Amino acid sequence: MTESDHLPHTEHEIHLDSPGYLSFSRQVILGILGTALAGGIGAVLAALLYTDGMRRLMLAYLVALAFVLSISLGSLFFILIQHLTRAGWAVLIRRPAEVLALNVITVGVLALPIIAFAFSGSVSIYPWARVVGSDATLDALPTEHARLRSDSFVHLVASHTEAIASIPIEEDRANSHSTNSPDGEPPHAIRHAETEDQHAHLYAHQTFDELTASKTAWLNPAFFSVRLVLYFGIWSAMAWFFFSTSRRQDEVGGTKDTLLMEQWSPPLALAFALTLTFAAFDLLMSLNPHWYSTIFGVYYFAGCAVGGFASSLLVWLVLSRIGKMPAKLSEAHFRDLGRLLFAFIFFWGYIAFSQYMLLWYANIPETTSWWAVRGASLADGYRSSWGYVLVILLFGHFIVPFLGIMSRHVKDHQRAMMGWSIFILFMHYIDLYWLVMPEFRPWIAFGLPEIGSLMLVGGLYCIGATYFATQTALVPVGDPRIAPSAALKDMY
Amino acid sequence: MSHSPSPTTVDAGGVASADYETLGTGTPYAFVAEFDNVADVMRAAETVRDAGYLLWDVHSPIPIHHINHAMGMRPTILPWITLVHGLAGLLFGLILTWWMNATTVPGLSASIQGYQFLISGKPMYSLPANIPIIFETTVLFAAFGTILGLLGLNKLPMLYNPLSRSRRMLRATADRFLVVIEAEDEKFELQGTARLLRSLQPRAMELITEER
Repeated sequence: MTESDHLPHTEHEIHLDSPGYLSFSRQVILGILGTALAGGIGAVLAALLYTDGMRRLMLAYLVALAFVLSISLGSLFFILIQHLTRAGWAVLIRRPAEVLALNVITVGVLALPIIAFAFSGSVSIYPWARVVGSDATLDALPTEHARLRSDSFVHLVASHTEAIASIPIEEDRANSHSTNSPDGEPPHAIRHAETEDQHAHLYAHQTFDELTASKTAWLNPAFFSVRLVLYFGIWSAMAWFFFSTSRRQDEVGGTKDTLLMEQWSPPLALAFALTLTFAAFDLLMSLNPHWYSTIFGVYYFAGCAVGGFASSLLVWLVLSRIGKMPAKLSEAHFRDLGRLLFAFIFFWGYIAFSQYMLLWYANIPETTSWWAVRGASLADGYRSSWGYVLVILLFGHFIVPFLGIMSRHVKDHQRAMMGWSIFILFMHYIDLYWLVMPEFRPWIAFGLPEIGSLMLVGGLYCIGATYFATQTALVPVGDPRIAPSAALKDMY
Repeated sequence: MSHSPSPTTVDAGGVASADYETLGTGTPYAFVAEFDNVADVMRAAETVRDAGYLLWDVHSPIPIHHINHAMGMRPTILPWITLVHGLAGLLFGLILTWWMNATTVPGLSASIQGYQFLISGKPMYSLPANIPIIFETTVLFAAFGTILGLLGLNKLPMLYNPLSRSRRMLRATADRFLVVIEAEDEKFELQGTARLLRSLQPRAMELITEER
């Protein structure tokens, strides 16, 4: 009699004869499709009606794309570490992650407009893309600069500046009266100088200048597009490898495919780390080509991991609740997934703070301007409503969920974890929103373009996911470790 | 084995109890039952648990998953000890950094005096700069609390245990699984406990005594 004979198989029966192929009714698919279409139409309409709407739509689209991409990459990461560590416990919950990872193909298709953004010249969201073709010489810069100055964006900032300057600032009044300058300058002028709006300066990186020009060897539309294709190619191939190998094992069984995936996981993990880092630099960090942060790739990765674990948990919970899962998860699976989520919430906070603290401490204008644009400055003339989003992130993405999921009793509670997963996914969206949208203007922009593009991209992402999910059993029935994994119980 | 079977004990029902060895001649300290596989010891643990004993233990050369369930152990309070120590570390880090960087108390000895030092124009007490220190003291205190709490809850270090006189107990680090029921237990009763252990069909049984 071996030890495993003690494990209770009966509670967690897997019905191997009905491998649990998922199917979605026509209404569900049409519903998602309708949501996506409505979102797309709404977003485009808003873009046409709003001031500078196209630019805003492009940024909002980028947020939504980075969001769905992070879910796929987080799932891919989950699969990679499972094979890297030969984790038997997670075999049962691997398949939804494989499906979400494979859905990076859908994200790749959705990323095609990003290439168009890079080629859209002076209206591009990427400042380095604003000089087209052979005109990108430094001699051409002054005229280009002047043209961009009259660009609607700078207008917008300037009008906002005037609006702010016209508001009398009460708390400064007493102060300015007492500090009358010796040459009899009226206190009003002092007050005005003190509260001069600095936002237009903060957005200096939006004009194509010498510094940006010096980076065009890497940041140019053609090379950017090639890299995007490369990243999505590598991710899709990687996800397809894991998906197809795992699905083949469903039919033939045995240990050969398990070993094959384990052998490939170290080099693939390296490729994953590099592509994710550079993709984060290209897609998100290069919105401000003056700014650089070497930890930025890790920051995006931390968000990916949080998003990936939260969606894996959510998919399992939802599918179990509607009775679509052929196997029952034990408490230990939930607790372990919850633990991973908990750990990466802290990891996100750790990385976010690391990035902030080093730049804050060094206090070099070149690097702190990125933070000032995102509302981190309380200095006169630098304040903006993006600071509220920053505070929401500090509490909503870190402190509150960290304390909330800390207890094992919460991790055991399926309904509570469903709520936390949704909350964390929402916060993860806010995180990406805060990374991108402050580039649009120095005060919060949230409305139809943002919601619409999230509906469009999220809806199409769901359509892709439902398609891939129907192509396979929902548990890897051929994996030799499926029975021990299904019988997983806590160690203590 | 060097121990001699006890020739005298016969229980009230007339059943011979001379099938266990007795170590020493003092008052009973614990009954030991020896098993040679995990399945038997798991079943034995469940039986002893259901019989209502509280002061007993299973000695095993390998970690046995779910033995805690078989033994009916309650969840540990160690996480709470860790949490309290972590919070204490947090408070300690906060006060430490604040005291050292942002206070000067006139007339206080230089050895415990704070030192206000302006660094790159930041405020004297600037939280972000101190968060790494506060984080580290939190982790340090939580780690110390965990390891000391672990030792305390297990009553370690225990420098002497009457069980260690038994040669049979040595094999708990090699190839035997031992169920030990202490005489201190309220349910312990020489004949009844012997009967219970015998019903589990151990390889051997031993009564360990101690001189008071």
